[in-house]
Amino acid sequence: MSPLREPKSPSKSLPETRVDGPLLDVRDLVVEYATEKGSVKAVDGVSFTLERGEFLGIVGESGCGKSTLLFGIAQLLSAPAGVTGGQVLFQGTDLVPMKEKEIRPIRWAGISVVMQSAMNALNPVKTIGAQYRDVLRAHSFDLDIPARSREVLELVGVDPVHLSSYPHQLSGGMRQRAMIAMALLLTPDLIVMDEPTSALDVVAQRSLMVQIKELQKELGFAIIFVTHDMSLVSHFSDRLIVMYGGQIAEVGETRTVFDTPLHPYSKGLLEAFPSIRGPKVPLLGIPGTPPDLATPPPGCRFAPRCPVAMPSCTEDGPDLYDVDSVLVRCLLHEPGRTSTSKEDVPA
Amino acid sequence: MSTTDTPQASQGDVLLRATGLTRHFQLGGAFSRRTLHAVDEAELTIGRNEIVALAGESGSGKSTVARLLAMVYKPTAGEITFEGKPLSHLRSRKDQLAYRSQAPMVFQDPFSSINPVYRVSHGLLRSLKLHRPELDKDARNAEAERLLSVVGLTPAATFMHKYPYEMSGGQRQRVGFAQALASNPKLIIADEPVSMLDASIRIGLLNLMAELRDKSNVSFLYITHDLASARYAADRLVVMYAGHIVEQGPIEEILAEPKHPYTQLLLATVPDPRAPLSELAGADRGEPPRVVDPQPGCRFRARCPIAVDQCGTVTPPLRVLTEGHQVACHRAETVTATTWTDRAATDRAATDRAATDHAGKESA
Repeated sequence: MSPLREPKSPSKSLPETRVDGPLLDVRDLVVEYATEKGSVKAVDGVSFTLERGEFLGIVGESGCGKSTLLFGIAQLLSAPAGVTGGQVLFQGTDLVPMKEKEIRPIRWAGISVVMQSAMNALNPVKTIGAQYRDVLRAHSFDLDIPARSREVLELVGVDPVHLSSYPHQLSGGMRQRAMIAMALLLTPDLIVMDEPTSALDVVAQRSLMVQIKELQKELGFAIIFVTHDMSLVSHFSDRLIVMYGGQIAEVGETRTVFDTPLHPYSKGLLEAFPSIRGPKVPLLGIPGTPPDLATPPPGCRFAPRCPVAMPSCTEDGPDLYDVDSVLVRCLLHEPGRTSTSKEDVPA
Repeated sequence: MSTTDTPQASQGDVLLRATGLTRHFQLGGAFSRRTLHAVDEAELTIGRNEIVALAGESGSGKSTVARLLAMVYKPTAGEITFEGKPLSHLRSRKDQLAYRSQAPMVFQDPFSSINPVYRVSHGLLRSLKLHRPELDKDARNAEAERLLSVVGLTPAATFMHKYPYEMSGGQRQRVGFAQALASNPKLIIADEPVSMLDASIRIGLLNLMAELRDKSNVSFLYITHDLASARYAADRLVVMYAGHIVEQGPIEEILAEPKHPYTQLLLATVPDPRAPLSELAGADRGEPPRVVDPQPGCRFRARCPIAVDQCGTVTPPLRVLTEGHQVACHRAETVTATTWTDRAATDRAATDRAATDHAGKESA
C-alpha cells in the first residue's frame, strides 16, 4: 500500500472539527421547492445517522425525494430548491448555514459525489486526466498529480493510459469507474452516489457494485447509495432507508428489512421483482403512482396505494415506530397496536 | 448453417423467421475498409402468440436485430420471412408500410419517443388514419379510446387529451404500446421497453405484454438485459454475444441449465435479494468486443473460463443440443454449474483473505 492510499489525515484545508460520534448526522432535514403553486416539500423531516465506513442504501420510486435528499446532504441544491429546515452535521459541523466558500474545502476532500450519468457529469471536451488535475489543484499543492491520477484509475481497474482519453472514448462502465476514481482522488470520508449504475448493463452493473464494495473495504470510506432498484443493494449495504413521499418509510439493517419488511411499501417494492429461481408467480407491483408532494394525502402518504390501509390511516399520520431496532412509519406497528396487528402483517 | 436442423422449422405456427441474418456497418470514411460486424449469421424464429426474449449486454447486437426485423436497416446478407413471405420482396412503399404496420416497434425511452408538443391522441389517431383507412373519424376516436383502455390507461377519454409531460414514465410507455397496437399488429418489437422505468412499475408492463399475447394474439420480441424479467414474461430466450446468437431455446430450460458460459454469466449477474450473492458476480470484468473485421473463432473466448485452442480458430456453429435448445459452443457438453467458480476460486481467494483481514480489524 503506497502512502497515498492511506486514509488522509485531516489536512490544513479541513477545519479541525472532528468529534466522536457519527460521521454524518442528518436531523429533521426539510428541502422545499418553490413552485408557482406554492412550496413543495420534497424532503420532509428526514433524520438519520451514518457511521464511519458504513454503506447506507436509500431506495424508493422516482419522485419520492431520494435524489433531493442526497443533494440536500451534499449542499448541491440550487434554486428553486433549498434546505428550509434541519441540520446536516458532517463530522460535527452543520453544513446547512455554511457559505459556499466555507464548504468548498470539504467538497471532494470530505464528501464527494458520484452522479447518475457519467456522460453528463464529466466534461466532454477535457481529458479524464485534465479533470482530475482540476480537482487536485483546487485542494492541494503537495500531491504528485500525475501519480495520484494514475493510482486512482488503477484502483478502479481502468488502464491509466485513459488519463489522456476523452469521456466519449470510454465505454459506459469505464466512464462510471473513472467518475468513482475521481471521487476517490482526495480519499474522502463519505461518498454519496446517486444511482451510479442505473445507466449500465447488468453485467457491468454487478461488477461495479462488487468493486465499490471492495474499494470501501480497502479504503474505509462511508457510502450513501441511492437507487430505485432495491435488489441491487441487497448484498452490499449495511443499512437501508426506504423512502416514500419525501419521508422515511422504513429504516433498518439491510438483511432484516429484506427478510421481514414491515412497511407495506417495502413489501410491495420487494415483491415487484420477478425472481430468477423458484416457481413463477404472477406479480402485481405497486399499483398507482407516488403522491404529488404539492398536495400530500392526509395521514399516511402511502395510504391511497396501500393494500392494508385502515380508516385511521387517512386521519392520523403515523410516526416512525421502533420495532426491534427497525424504524417503520406505519400505524400497523404503532406501539399498543402491535398485538392486534400481528395477524395482519404477514399477509 | 442451415435452417433445416432447426426443430421449429417444420412447425406451421412460425410468424417470423430470420435465416443467416447479417448486418455489417462500414466504419470511417469513404476509403475505409474496416467493417463492424453488428450481427452475423443469426438464425431466429418467432412463433404466433409467443414472447421471445432477446438478451445480451450492450453492444451485443440486440438492437440491430430489432431494427433489421423492423425494416429500419436492410440486412447485409440473409433473409427475413414474415408469414412465409420474404421481406426482400417488398419493393413498393405500400408493401413496406403494410409490413411495418404488422410489426411496429416500441422504444426504450418513453421520454423521448413520444412527441412532447402533441396530445396522446395525436400519435394514435395518426397511426389509425395511416394504417386503417377504412375507419372514419368517429370510429378512429372510439378505437383510440379502446386502445388506451386495453393498455390500462383508464379513463381513456381523459388520457386522450393529456400531454406526455402530464404522465409518468410507466404511463408514457403504455402510450407507446397503444400506438404500436393501433395498426392491429401481429408482432411488436419492444426494444428494452422497461429498462428506463422504475422497478415497481416494470412488472405492470410485463403483465401487459402477457395479456396482449393472450387476448390480442400479438407476438413480442422482447429485448432486454434483465433475465429475471425475461423469465417472467417470455416463452423462449435468445442470448446474443458480440453479434452471434450463442444460445436459444425454451426459457425455463435454459435458465435451469444454461449451456453457454456467457448465459451463465448473464444469469449470475441478476440481482436476487432472496439468494446469497453469486460467487461469479465479481469474477468477470470484461466487456463485449467491438467486432471489427473479425477472424474466425468464438467471440467470447477472451472472457471464457473454458476456452481451448479450437475456440480461437473455428467459429462455433449454433447446434441443436436437445429439442429446441441450441447452443453455439464447442465445449457445451463440458459446461457445468461450477464452470465459472472453478476458475474464479483462485481470484476469490485473494479477495477473501482481504475480507477476513478487514473483519478481523473491525472486531479488534
